[in-house]
Amino acid sequence: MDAEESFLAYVRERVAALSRIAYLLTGDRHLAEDLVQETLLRVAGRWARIAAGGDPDPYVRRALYHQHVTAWRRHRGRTVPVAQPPDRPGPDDTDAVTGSVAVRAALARLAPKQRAVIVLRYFEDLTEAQTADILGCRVGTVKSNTRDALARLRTIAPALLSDTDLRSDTDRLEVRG
Amino acid sequence: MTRLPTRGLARRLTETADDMPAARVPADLWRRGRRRHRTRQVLVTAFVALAAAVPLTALPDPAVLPAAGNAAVPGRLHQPWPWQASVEGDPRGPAALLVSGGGGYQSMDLPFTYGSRISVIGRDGSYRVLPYGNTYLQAGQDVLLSADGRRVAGDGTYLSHLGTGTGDVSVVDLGTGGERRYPGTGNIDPVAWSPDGTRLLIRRYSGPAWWSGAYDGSDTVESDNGALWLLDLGSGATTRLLDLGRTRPGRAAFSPDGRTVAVQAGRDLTLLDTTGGGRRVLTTLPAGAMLGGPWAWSTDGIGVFTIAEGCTTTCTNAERNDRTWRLTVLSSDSGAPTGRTFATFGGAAARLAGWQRDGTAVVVRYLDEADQQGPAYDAPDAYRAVSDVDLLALDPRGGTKVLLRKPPGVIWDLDVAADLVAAGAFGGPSPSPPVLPLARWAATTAFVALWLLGLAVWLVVALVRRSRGPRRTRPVSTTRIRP
Repeated sequence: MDAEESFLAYVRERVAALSRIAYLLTGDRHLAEDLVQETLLRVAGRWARIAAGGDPDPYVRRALYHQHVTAWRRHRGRTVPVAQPPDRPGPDDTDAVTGSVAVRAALARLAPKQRAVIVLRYFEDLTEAQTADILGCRVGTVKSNTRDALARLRTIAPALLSDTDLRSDTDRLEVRG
Repeated sequence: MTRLPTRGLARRLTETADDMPAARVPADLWRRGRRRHRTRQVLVTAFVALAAAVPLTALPDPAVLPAAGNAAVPGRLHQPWPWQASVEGDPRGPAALLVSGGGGYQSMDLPFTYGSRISVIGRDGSYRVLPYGNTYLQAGQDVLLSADGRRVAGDGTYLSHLGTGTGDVSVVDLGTGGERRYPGTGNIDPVAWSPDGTRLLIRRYSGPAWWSGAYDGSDTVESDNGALWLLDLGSGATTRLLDLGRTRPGRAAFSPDGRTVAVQAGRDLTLLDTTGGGRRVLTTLPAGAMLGGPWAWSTDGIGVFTIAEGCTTTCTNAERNDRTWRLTVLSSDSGAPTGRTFATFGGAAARLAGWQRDGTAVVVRYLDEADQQGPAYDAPDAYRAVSDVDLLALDPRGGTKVLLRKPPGVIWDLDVAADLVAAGAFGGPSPSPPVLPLARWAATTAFVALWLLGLAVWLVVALVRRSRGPRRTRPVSTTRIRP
């Protein structure tokens, strides 16, 4: 299999998973698509070398997280024209939708690295060492970011951390402040 | 572990992520990614090359000729680059030649703050520059090369900006680029190096100098407090050899043993004892005759140029160019001609660059600007009069040979290392001046320009990327690669 076929096969296999991570990181479908596209464009250029090193997935995920932080740094403070307004938390008929909106709103209140740590640790279920490896930082930094992120979530959305079924206490999931 | 309290968080993250369908990606994702990668590779390579080029500009050029054991005056002169490095910035050791002139020899020295540039052609084929603040300085007359080619004597405006010079004498070591200053007051000109390089004959005078009489070779140059001094370069001590009052001393030359100095003042050729202080007028020269210059005195006598044919006084430049000269060797005892004869040669003026051991005289021949109307008011070898010079060999057995090929009309004076003249070492390799290294001003300018260019490119790229904004605002053809 040549590099192009290998790349396209990887994309077919992993684009959905990467999109889910990107969605949690960005909180927006369009931004998540942008993030995935940009990441795949970046890795396509050096795919032969990436694939030669074994499983390309860790590298691509690392690229995705770094691209997320980089994009946030580049575009922070800017007003971006969009085709339609982004989703906002608010009353909705569907509990599930309300829960999803609340989760994304809460994540949006975190710093990009805190958000990345939360996604890596509690969505991807990675250890602190694996998380540190992906983000290219020390384990201590992962710990402190995790601690700070959880503390912030407890403050702004305490129900997010509860073990209670989300649909049974939607009102408590409302993001404060 | 903090897993238990966040079990709900993990579940809610998973439920939220489930809302996201697989991202649509462009159908030509692979091709676009590869193209972008190649573009970035080109840009990075260009940037690295740009960055690497800057320090390269400061690298010294490799010796273009082998070691100076068989050094020789190059057979051909090229014009130096306008940005040629200075001796101070990159010294290359002993010189074969000093050259002054127009074209590349005079070209820009940003920010146009130097009055004169003397080019130093090294024995390794290098071209370097000595900048002086004074204008109209000439190699061989105002800036002199020592007999061994290792040092250069000039006035106190070396490395000074235009108009900020002092009355010092400057001696530059071509091996180290270092300079030693010998303080003075008023006007000081170096006149001649002693053969062993330990002493320098200097001319002091105050106020402006002016010509009297008919404006030709042996006319009196007047000024106030004209005097000839001997400067010991080791101790810095000076000794007054001759006090001429309102007459400025003219050309002078050391005897081969360095004990006596011959000096021309007006038409008188006077010998000065540098050890005991004695003096005597050796002879009175005919109209237009000139003492040969700093290296005029050989073991056979003192070389003097006399006009064989043509205009002797009150001449136009064209008439000067049409006259012919005869080199006469005078006995240093009696002042009478020794009878040695050389072929006559044409030209406005001449100076002896030295003597070969076989008796051949090496002569700098001057040609003047011929388009000037009326009698010339500058000396025939003056900066503003000269249009070209040649280096000639006058064989005592007869015959004249041109020793140096050169671009026409841009070399207005030159000085040759006397040891190479004595050895008859001419016609050596003549490599073109290397482009690098750059003069300091040029390296600085290039450095700033290259980085400004890089910065501008980076800014343009950043602005373009910023103006494009997030990718979703750009209409791109996308498709969904189904998982």
